Amino acid sequence: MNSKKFLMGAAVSAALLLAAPMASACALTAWSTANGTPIAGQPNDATPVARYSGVCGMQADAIGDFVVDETPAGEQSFNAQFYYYTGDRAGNADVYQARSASGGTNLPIRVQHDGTNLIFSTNGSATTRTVAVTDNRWYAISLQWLAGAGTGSLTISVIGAGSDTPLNTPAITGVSNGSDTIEEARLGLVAGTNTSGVATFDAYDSRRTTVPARLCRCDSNNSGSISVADAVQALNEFINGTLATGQPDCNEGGTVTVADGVGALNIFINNGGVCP
Amino acid sequence: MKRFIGAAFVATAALLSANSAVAQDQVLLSSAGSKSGSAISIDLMTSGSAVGFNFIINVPADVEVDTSACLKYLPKSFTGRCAFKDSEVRVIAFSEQNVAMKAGANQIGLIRLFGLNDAKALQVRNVEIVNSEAKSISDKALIQ
Repeated sequence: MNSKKFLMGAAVSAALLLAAPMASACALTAWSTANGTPIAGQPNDATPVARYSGVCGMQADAIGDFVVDETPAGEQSFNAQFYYYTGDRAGNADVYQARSASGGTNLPIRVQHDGTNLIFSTNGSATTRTVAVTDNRWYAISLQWLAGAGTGSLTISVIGAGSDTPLNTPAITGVSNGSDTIEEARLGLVAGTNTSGVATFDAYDSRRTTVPARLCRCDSNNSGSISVADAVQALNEFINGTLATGQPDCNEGGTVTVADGVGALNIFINNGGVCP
Repeated sequence: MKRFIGAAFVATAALLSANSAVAQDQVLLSSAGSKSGSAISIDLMTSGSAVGFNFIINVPADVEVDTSACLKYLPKSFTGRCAFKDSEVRVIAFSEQNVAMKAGANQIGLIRLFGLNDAKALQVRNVEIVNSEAKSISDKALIQ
């Protein structure tokens, strides 16, 4: 998993889940706290944990398993991105919250997954956005939140399941949230219900002003472009278990197989190797 | 068509003899003329560790390309694609079993170009030949 730190003025918080090359060496120490028992792991651990980027991911098995980032400091402009693997869950759970310190019902950003849909909402607006997602697929969820007295907004982007076309999630605008601030973010099975299945996360990134870029899909070796090296790297993971350090899960299906190598091959043909 | 392919094989055979000891992994494009257009033989010269390769051939704007035999001789353990798009022939293939292609000259296939009679007018870029660990072992191409 990537660990991104943005220490200049635009920074809000650091990312999570330190990656390490050895099995079972993943950790949650980049986060302020961990609640419950979220698992940091990798695909070849005794308890395999899917990942999107790098070698580590985070898995939440039950409501209350989540990590907390307390580095936001009364933010009124906040951009976050994370990768979410839908799994085969049932139950309507909050998988992400960006909150004030008091939390409660004042949730500037709330993302729920009910097993079928992702549901986005923001304090100060009765409007929600609901988009259907496919089981057992990775999605990049990007959120841009602004506070304002009747001018606040939440811009949402959901892209995944092997496609580069954003799902239809219009922004929520005209929000009355001028006094709202974000002081912490929670990622995992934060609240709600989870009757079966697990939730998996990777590559969290949050910033004050700039918007995190989506990671290069199929870029197994993290070179910034797609070539046969990415196909062979994915294949090498499938055959030899050597985990790729980039984004080898080309079809975003949760496991790396020869199909991901073929996916890289198709991107080379269709885009000439440019990241999709 | 048989004559066309035969001519290409003759060209390849000549190259084989000229490169009996392959010193460097590289993509080799060589002309093999035909009545209806210029045939280009695609060969991979390898020292025995190439598991995958890709390259892009820039084609002059008014040239038509037939890529139907582009990967015709690719080893059976390899999967690949070849397409003509945006005035480029894009070629990529790798072994699904992570097994290297045999050392020496390996003919991969043929492309036919209509409106071009000399392979030397082509440009090759984005050459990458990788080993079983996905490490790049060459970025070389030769046009003859």
